[in-house]
Amino acid sequence: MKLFTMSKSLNFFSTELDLKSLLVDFEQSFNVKYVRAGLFDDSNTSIYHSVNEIAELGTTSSPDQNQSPCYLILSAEEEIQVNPIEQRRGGTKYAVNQSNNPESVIVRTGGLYGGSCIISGQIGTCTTHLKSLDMMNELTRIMTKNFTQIKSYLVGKEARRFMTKGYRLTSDARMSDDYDLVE
Amino acid sequence: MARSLVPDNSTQVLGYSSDPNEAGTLFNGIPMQDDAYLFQGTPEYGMPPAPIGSTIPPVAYEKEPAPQPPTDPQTNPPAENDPATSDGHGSCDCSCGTQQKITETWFALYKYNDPPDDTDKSDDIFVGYMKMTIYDDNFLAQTLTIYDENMEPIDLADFPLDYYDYVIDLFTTDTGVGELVLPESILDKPAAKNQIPEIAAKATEKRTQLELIEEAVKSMPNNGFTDFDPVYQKYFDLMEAQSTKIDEIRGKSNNRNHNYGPLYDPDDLEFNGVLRAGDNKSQGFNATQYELLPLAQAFVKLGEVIILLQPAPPLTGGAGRSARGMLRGSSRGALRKLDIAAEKAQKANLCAIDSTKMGGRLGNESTRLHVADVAGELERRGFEITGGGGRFPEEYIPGFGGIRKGSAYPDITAIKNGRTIRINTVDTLVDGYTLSRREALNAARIRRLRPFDHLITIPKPK
Repeated sequence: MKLFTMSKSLNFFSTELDLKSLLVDFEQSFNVKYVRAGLFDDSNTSIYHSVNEIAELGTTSSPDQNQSPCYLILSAEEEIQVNPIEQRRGGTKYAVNQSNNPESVIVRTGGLYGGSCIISGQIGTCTTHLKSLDMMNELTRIMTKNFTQIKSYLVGKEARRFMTKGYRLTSDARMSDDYDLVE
Repeated sequence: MARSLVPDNSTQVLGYSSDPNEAGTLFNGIPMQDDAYLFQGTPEYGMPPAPIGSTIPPVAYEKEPAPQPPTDPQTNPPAENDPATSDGHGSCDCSCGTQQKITETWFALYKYNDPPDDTDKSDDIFVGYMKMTIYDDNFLAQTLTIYDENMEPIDLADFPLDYYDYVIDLFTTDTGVGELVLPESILDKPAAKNQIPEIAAKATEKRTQLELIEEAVKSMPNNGFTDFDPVYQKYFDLMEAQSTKIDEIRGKSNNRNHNYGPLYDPDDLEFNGVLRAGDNKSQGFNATQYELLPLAQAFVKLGEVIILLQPAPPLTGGAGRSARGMLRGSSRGALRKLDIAAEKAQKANLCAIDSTKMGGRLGNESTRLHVADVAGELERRGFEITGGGGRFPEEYIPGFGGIRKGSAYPDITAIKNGRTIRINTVDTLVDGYTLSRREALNAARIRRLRPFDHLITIPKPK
């Protein structure tokens, strides 16, 4: 088993179709569930038992990659740990991330934005838990097999077609197209 | 080029214009209370409205265009009473290395006896004037001067700005050179001793209170504006302790909603920073969000200005005392908060940090704990961490054309209210706030790659 000494991530461009085919493949190897990650006002988590249940896959409403939806992928039998965070201004928010769920990987979906851009996504982990690394290795294997490496990104098949049609492939659509991915 | 400011006693309105062409024409009323946000002076940045019916000071100035810097110093000699000249520096706009005056701002200092607001003007006590001059090579508050009612300079050491509750921004000039002519009416302004007996009695009461404060402050351990906290084995800003004591004596609660952390919060921003212009020119400052933009506007005239947002060690000496007196309510306790939070996080083992092998891009254990702690503080302020911080993989920002070269991995990426901020913990030089060359380049790269978002640099613990 290769131990990662730093957070490991794959950055990619994908459409809904690309991402679903990746994760459906992945579900063949691992029995997983998807939990919406982030900071929430209540402790109820959004849990999906298959990628097909996620409605908002492949599109994003923000030009910034950081604001696209993010999910924790963890074993179906694993209990999700929600971290309550007392706010300085009163009240409590609830964080779902890898800090309390080290046996997970994350997927930030990215996707189509504004009819002319594809925002990048990210799959990765910041922990060294063996289960997390196993899942990461499997995702890496499937991704490198089905996606095309262009410079520092992996690009899904459909995303690549969009690229040739003139769609911008970027991590932030507000930036100049000098920073877009180009072949 | 002397300015001829004409008093207009009929004008009683306190107002303000941010138009530089109108500098020196209107009054700017700033209810100071205990937090001297002197630069909270523009309506668009949330300046409180001027008190209705304000009658002080009973002078105003005729509008005149801001003077232009002279092209030939020979034909525009500095005024004799120009502090830039009197301390051995001439004022000029060439690149000969001498000082260039950027702005000069006069304030009238008042006390009032009706906290927490200043609605009752009848007991306001005029105490003197304050002049702040900004030079191109001698930054903020370096030439802050306090005058009594007779325009005699007062030693800052004997005149803590802490004691002033109320400050009126008389006018700001934008003069490269030139003489600021004070109208006679200012020189004739009555001081507290000349006011009506009831007010004088209140003044006496206030003076007694001030004496008590002075005595209490003097009795506090003071080793150069810092005190030693045996628990944390560090020196901390004595101003914080002094302020607390002063509040106690004044009978005020100390819940002033200060938010001392070094982190950016769009809704409640307070931070320290460093203004730098060119080589070897830098000045630490403590500022709030309201103060930063006017400051930046003033300093941008110096050419290349870099504003680094980070917790800086408390300013010391005369400049630090002045700056803190003027721009209060920012850094106190920032370093302490970080230390306490880091300690707690360490003890509670809250940080999911890879400890199997430390080093590399994520830094050593201390750095990772620090990053996780900063992320925790962000979460407590309502920020959602989206990258790094021991919660997620770091955000990847690609270089030109999507290549790896020139890319960046900020330590923490977080979002709140649709805005994205990034935080990098950085190595600093021995002064504690100047970024090392490598860190400065990294920070500049991230800012170039993401110009729409904020990047905050925070010194790594040493």
